[in-house]
Amino acid sequence: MAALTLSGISKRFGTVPVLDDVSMEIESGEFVVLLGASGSGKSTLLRIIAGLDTPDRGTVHIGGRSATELPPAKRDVAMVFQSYALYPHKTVAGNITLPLEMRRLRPWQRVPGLSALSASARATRSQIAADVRQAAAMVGIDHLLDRRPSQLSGGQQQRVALARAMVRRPQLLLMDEPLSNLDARLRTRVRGEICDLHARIAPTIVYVTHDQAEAMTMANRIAVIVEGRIVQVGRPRDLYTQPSDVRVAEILGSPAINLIDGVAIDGWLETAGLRVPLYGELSGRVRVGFRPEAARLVRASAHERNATVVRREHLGADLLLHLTMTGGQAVVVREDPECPTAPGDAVCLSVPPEKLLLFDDRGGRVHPRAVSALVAR
Amino acid sequence: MSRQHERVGGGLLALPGTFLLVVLLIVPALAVLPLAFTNWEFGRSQVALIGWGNFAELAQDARFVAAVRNTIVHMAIVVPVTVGLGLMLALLIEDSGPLKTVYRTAHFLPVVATLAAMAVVWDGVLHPTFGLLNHALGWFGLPPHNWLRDEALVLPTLALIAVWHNLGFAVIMFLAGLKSIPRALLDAAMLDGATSTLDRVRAVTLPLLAPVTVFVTVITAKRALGVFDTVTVMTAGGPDNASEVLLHLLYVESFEHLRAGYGAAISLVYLALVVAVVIGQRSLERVSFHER
Repeated sequence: MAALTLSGISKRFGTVPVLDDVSMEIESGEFVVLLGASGSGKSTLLRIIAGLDTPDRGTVHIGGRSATELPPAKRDVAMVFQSYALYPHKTVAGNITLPLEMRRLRPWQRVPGLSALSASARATRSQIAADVRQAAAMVGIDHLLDRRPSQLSGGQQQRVALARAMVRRPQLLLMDEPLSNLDARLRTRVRGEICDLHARIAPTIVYVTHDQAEAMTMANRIAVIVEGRIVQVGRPRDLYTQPSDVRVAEILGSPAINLIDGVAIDGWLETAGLRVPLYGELSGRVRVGFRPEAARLVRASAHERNATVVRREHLGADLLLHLTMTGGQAVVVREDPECPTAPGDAVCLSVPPEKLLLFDDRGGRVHPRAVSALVAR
Repeated sequence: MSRQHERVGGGLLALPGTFLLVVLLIVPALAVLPLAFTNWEFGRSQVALIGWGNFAELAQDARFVAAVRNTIVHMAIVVPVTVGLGLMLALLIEDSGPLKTVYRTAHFLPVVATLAAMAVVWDGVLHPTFGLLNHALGWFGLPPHNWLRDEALVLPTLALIAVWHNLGFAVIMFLAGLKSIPRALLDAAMLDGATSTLDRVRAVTLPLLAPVTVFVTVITAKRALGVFDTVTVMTAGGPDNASEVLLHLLYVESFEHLRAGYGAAISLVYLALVVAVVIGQRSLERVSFHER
């Protein structure tokens, strides 16, 4: 059963369209990342799922139930905010307790002191305390329960936010850039911990980020959002190797994909002074893309050399070579660190035909098959 | 060397302020202390120390006892009503959309108005025969009252004018406090189950406004203790001391009866009340501020 179904969601702020006819289905237990640049509408989409914003058009179904008209508290969703949004006046325990108190205790039972009068309220309270301890232990903060948020590090606050969201076992866990306030080292660690948590208890997660590395490493599926539309949804590997749109190709991968402009005429692709024969109908302006690791430097005679080395970046396991093609385009190639090149060397760059990605002038992927490698002839 | 220079320069810059503070505040305040134990009167050349004489007389003085009681009652009405009403208005204004600025200005006007002048206006509004208030009561078939000449009504009436005067300040402070509450906290509360506005106010808004509330309470208490203009202009402490307050009595004894020593004793009592409020603020802060 689908944990979340979005159909035809549109939203404007004033005259500015933020989301345009967004539809998507997320299965129970899935970890879906909404990936997009800032201002792409991904956070608004998350807020619409949570019920904090209302869509102008479209419907939200959570767990098969229509939720479009439900207030946030009735949707059985929890959210981890970018700022963590911990209640500064409550202890860690108080923060994690609040969502359970609000749900399991009647208003009069929440009044301090009054609940001691009722046996059922006392029983509920001790159950809540047990659940809070369990949730805190799950993210490893059970020794911090008496602290205030201001006494915790960023990483600890992040865990409290996670525990507060998980403690009531929501159908849907929403995360809005939860790692962006952490330093790089901690971000990698917490990223791993969230993945482990997902593997252990498999909550359905919708996770918003602009960081392609987070998306690639954590997601079961990624939905790339550009200017208020979902451009492509799929497994990270598929999106990386088979992007349907040049904007998907650009957002995934680091260093970014190499894109060079070219023209297709009469079964030939001409780009950067190079010619590649093509099978299939294609004419007009095209953009040719290839990943840095798809290209190789090959042995070639002097007249076949099509690029010049500009800079070497040694990353330990890899070597990034910044090249300028004959036509003037800058490209980056991932090479073996042993590759014996120096700035100023003329080299021959080769990309196997199956690794070439072609996009038409509107950015859509086109699939005529290149016959030979992108090398000078 | 440069540190020495800095210290001298800083001292020089602070000099004018320090001078004024000493001459206008500290010296007179210290002068009051010995004065309270003398029988000095303005214009008289002989002065004698009379020990606790002034205070003994105060204890016997029905007008003084009434003044202390009325000042405290006045404060006890003004503070909770101003703080409570101010918070409610701020919450409403915060939710009120395009007219927000109009409401804010309307509520802040009384704060910047000169109270002595406004007291004359209130005098007109409260006039027993042709006052607006009694007129308005008449429309609803309610009997008119002599607001400022009725012993039971005069103090609450003055207190309500003080509330009117202070409310805008409380509202502005609470509005500023509300602005500083991160939107995400209210969102989080909404997801955590605080569906009604009242739930969210209780779970998030009120606790986070605690520092502002303490501040507004103390400032309002201080201003309520210092009630003077309205009493002087509208009632002169009457009828039968029913609206006599400390500062008015202090003024009457010192500058009308010219009993400077007796007035100094009254100002010491007033000072003690102010200090009590400050101590109260300290303990309130300790209870309600979350550690930062």
